[in-house]
Amino acid sequence: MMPTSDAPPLDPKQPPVATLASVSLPRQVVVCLAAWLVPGLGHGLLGRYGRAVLIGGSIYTMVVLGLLMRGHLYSPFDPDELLGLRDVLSKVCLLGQMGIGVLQPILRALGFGVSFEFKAATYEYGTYFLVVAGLLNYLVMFDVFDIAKGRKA
Amino acid sequence: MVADRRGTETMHFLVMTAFAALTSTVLAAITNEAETTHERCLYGLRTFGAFVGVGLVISWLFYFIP
Repeated sequence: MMPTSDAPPLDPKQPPVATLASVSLPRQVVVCLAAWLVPGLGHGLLGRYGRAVLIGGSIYTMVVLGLLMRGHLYSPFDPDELLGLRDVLSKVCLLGQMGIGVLQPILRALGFGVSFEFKAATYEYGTYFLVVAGLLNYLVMFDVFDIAKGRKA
Repeated sequence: MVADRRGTETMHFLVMTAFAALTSTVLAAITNEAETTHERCLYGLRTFGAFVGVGLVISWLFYFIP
């Protein structure tokens, strides 16, 4: 007798294959925004607490080290720095640093990383620690999106 | 003078190591190439080694450029 379906027969000895569940669209938006605003929070909201601690701890440590090394935080408030055509590289750095989330404008408003201490030996290191912390958080946002869509465990 | 230079070199190496450790931790946490915790740890160690190794090779090459 010919099988009526292309699906393989169920074998009771085989363990059930875990299916990845996606969350609703509004929740996907919320977790991605949370992942951007507070590094690690997106994974925390999806129940990945271990990864949330690792990611948040690493990114915030990079921010603290960057500021301790006298890195510069670019201002997201200055329209000239945002929209002007001169000094394109600083806009790229600002875009990278904006990945840190809500902490970036808060630290800048509190006066951290305002001055250009380019004579300090660690100025470049500090600035790029801050930029890479933001860029890593953009990658984390993609990971959160993949988990929320059910593409990844 | 020599002590100053050694101190600076040590500081540069420590900063590079801290950067490699923190970056590879995040990359290991979000990679698609590992499923289990053990695989993620191995991926993180490999990435850390690659960061430090490539940094040392490049700095060794730069040593000969005046």
